[in-house]
Amino acid sequence: MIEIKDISKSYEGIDALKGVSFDMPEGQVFGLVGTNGAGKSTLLRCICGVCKPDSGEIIVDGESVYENPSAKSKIFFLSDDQYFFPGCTPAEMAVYYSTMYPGFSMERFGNLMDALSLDKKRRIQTFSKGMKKQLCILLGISSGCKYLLCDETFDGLDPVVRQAVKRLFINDMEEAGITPVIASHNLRELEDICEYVGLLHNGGVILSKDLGDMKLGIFKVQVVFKDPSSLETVKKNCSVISEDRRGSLVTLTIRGTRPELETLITSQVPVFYEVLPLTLEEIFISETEVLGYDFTGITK
Amino acid sequence: MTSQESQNKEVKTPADNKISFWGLLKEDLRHRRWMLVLSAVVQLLLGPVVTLFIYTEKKNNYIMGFDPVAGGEVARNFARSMVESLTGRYMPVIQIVIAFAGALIVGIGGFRHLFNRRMTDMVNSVPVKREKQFAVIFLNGFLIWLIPAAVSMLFTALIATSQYGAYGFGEEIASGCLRNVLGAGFVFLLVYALVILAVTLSGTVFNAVLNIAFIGFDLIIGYWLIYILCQDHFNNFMDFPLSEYASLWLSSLISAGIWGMEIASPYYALSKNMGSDVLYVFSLMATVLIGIFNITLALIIYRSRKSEEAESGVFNRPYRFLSRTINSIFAGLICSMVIFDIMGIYDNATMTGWQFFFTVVFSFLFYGLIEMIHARSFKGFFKHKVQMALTVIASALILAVFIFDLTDFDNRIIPQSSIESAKVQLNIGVRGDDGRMYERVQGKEGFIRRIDDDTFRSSHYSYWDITPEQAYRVITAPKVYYDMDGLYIYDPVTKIKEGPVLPIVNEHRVFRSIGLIADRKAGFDFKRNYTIYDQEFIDEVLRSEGYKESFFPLQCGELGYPVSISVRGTKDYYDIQVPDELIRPLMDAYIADFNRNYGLDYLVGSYDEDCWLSFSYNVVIPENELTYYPGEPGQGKKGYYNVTMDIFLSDEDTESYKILEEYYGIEPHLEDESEIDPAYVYEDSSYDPSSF
Repeated sequence: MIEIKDISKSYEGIDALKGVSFDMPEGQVFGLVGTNGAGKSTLLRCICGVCKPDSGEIIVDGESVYENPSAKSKIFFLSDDQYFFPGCTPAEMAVYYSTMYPGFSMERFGNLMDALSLDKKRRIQTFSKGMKKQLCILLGISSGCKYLLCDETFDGLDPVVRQAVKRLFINDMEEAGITPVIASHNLRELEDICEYVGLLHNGGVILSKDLGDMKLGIFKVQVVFKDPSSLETVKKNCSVISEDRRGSLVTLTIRGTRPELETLITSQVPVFYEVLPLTLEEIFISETEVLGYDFTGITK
Repeated sequence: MTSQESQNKEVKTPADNKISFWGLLKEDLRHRRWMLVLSAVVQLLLGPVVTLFIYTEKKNNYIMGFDPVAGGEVARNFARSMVESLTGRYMPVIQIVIAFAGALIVGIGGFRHLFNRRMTDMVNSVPVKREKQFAVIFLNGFLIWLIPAAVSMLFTALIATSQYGAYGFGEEIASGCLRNVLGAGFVFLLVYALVILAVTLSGTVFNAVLNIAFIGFDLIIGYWLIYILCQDHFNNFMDFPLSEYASLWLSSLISAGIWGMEIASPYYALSKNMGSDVLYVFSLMATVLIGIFNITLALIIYRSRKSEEAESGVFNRPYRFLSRTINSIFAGLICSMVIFDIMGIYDNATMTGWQFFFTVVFSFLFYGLIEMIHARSFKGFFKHKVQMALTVIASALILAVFIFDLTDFDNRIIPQSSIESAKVQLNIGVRGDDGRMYERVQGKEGFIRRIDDDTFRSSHYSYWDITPEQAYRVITAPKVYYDMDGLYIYDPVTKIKEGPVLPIVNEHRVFRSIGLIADRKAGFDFKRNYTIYDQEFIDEVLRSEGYKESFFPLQCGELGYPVSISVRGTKDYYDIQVPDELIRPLMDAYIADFNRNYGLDYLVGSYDEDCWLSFSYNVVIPENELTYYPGEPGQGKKGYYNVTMDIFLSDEDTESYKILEEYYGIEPHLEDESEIDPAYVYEDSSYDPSSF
C-alpha cells in the first residue's frame, strides 16, 4: 500500500501540494483525477521519489520512498513525456531498465513488443507519439514493479491499444498483483478501469475512496414539483451540491444514499422524479464546482 | 495462483535483488560511447601520431647530412633532443590541454541529465541512490579520459623506444610518458571536480560554463582586484602575503595546470616561482584540498538537488546570492580600475567621481544581468531590488576604503626587528632590450640566461638582497604621496605630509617605486611597493654589492664571442658599427667602467639625451652556453643564438668613451661636463628632480 501522509510541495513559492493525505490500496487500479494544476503530476513524482516533499512522508509497503532503492524498486514511473536516450532503440531502453530493475523480464518485453507490432530495433525518435506511449507502458509492465505510476498514459493511444493496455493491467493485477496508479483527465476512461479514485484540486485532496462507494453516495435527481415549497423542503433536508432548472424540471446533485433520497422526494409528492447515478465526470464537476471551480459563466 | 501468493512472489523479485555497481558502470558507459571514441581518437592522434610527425619534422630540420642509421654522437644528440621534446616539452602541454578539454566535456556530458527535466525524472525515478549514481558517472568520466590516455602514452613510449631506445633513452622515455599521464591525470581530476561542482549548481549548459568561470577564477580575481586597488590608491604601504605566483593556487583551473605541468615535465617547474618552500608546499596542499572540497561539495549538492532544478538557470539559493553579489562587486571595481588607467595614475576629485559613478553603474548592471541569467528571464533583472541596492552600495564602499584609506591601512609600519632578510627591485628599467634582461647563471661560468620581462619580471630573479636595516629605511623613508590637488612628500614615521610640492601633472611620474620583499621572522614573506622620494638612498641601494652581483655579472669573455658593437645615443654617435678591432677593447673598457662605477648611471638611459651613449652588443653565443629558462639547459636551433643587448653608459670619464673618442675624434656635446644628473626614466620621458 502507498500511504501519503500530509505532504506539501511548492515550486518557487507556488504551492503544488498542500497537506495531501490518503492511501492507495494495493491490488486495485487507482485513478488520480484533478483539475489542471491540481498537483497530480507532482504527487506522482513525489511517490516515485523523483521529488522530495517539502514536508510529510510517502510510505510504500512500510518504507519511506525518497532515496530508498528498496522502496523505489517497487515503483515504475511512466511520465507523461517519457525520456528516451537520443538515438536509442526499444531494445536498448529495455537493457537500461533491466539494469535498473532486476525484475525486468526481457522475454515479456519482447513478447509484448511483438504483440503490439513494435519494432525493437527501430530508433525511438522515429516513433509516433502513440508508439512512444506504448513502448513506455510495455517497459513499465515488463519491469516487474508492483506499482505502475502512469501520468496521462492513455493520452495519444488509439482505442484498440487502449483496450489492450487495460487488459494487460487487469491481467497483471490478477497474476502479478500490480497496482496501476493512473493520473488522467479522461474520466470516462478511468471509470472503466479504476476501482479507487483520488480527487485533487488546487494542491489538496477533495476525496479519496472506492469508486463504487463514491457513486453510492451521490446522485443526480431530476424532479418536478407542483408546489415550489416542496423543492425548498427537499433542499433543506439533504446536502445539495448543485442545482439546475429547466422550466419546471429541476436537476439536483445530492449527497446521500438512494433509499434516503427516494424517501425524501416521495414525501413531497412530486409530479415526476428520477434518481440517476453520477458518472465519474459528473462527480468531478460537482465536487470541484462546490470549491469554486466553475467556468459556466465564461460565455456571459 | 491465489492473489496473496502472486503478491508475495512479486514483492520478492525486485526489492531483494541489488543493482551491481559494475552493471551501472557498464550501462552509463553505453550511453557515453561517443565520449570514449572521441577521447580515444584525440589521444591517439595527439600521442603516437604526433610522435611520428615530430620525428619527421625534426629530422628534416636537423643538421644537414645527419644520418640516424649511422649512429654516433650526432644521432645520439638528435635522439636526446627528440626524447626531451616528446616527454618533456611538447607532450606534457598536449596532454594537459587534452585533460582540460576532456574534463570539461566529460564533466558536463556525464551529468547532462541535470539540464533536462525529463531525463532527470527518469534518472531520479530508478531505484539507485544518488551517491551511487554520482560515483558511477564520476568514475566513468575519469576512465573515459584515463584509458585512452594510458593506451596512447603506451603506444607513444613504444614508438619512441623503437626509434631512440638504442641510444639508451628507454628508461627516460618510459618515465617521461608515465609522468605525462600522472600530470595530466592530476589536471583532469582537479578540473573535473570543479566542472562537476559548477554543473551540479546549474540547470543549463550555459549557466554551467558561466559557473565554471566564476568558481574557477573568482578567488584569484578578488585577490588581484585588491592587489591592484592597493597599488593604485595606497602610496606608502602595500602588504601582500602571497607572491604573484603563489596567488595562482587561488584559481583551481590555473593551479591545476601549473602543478600538472610540474608533475608531467621537469622542464616546467613553474610552481617553484611561488615563493618560499612553505608557500610551495602550502600551494600544493591548497590545490589538492580545493579539488577535494569541490568534489565533496558537488556530491552533497547532487544528493540534495531538487529534480525541478533541471532547465532552471541556477536554483541553489546560497550560490545564487554569492555569485551575483561577488561578481557584480567585482565588475564595478574592475570598471573603476579601468577608469583609473584611462584617466591617469593620479588621484583627483573628478576622476574619483567618475570611478564611483562607473562602479555603481556596472555593479548595478552586472547584478541585474547575472540575475537574468540565473532566472532565465528578463524579468529577473529587478528580482531582488533590496539586495541589488545593498550590493551596489557595498561596491562603492569597498572602493571608498581604497581611495580614502578608510582603514588607515596605508600608514602601517612593521618593526625592523621582525625582518629576517630582505630584497628589493627597482621598477625603473633593467638592463636589457625591450623587457629582456640577462644575468649570470650562478656557479656556471660562461653561462648567461635570458629573462623575458613578461614572464619573470616579478619573480625573485629580478630582486637583489639588501640588509634588514636598509629594508627598514625603505619602509620608513619619506614617500611620494599623491593627493587630490598635488604631489606631497609624506613621512610615514612622523605622519607629516608636506606640500603640495608639485601640482598634479605628468612630472610626478618620474618617481618610481621600489618593490620590497621582507622575509618576516614570524612566517610568510611580505611584498610591498614604495614610491621613495630620497634619490640618494635609491643610489645607495643601487650601488650595493648585491645589485652588482645580480645585475652586472659580465666579466670579460663571459659573453662568449662578440661580433659587433653599435653605438648610438647622440647625433655624433648615431648607430655606428664599431670596427672589429675595437670590439674586444671596448668590451673590456666597458666592464672596467662598470666595475668602477656601477649604479644608477649604468642602469638607465635615454636616447634623446646627449650625455648618454647606448651600446648594442651583438653577441654570438655557442651552442650549449645559452640557457633560455632559469636552471634548465637549452640549445640553439642551428647551434648558435644571437643576443642583442642594449646597455647604457654615461660619458663621464669612462674608459669605453675614451676609446671611442680616441678612435673617432669626436667630442660629445655636454651641457655640463662636470656633472651628470641622474635621470629617472619612465616610458621614454625623463625628469630632472633637481628642478624643484
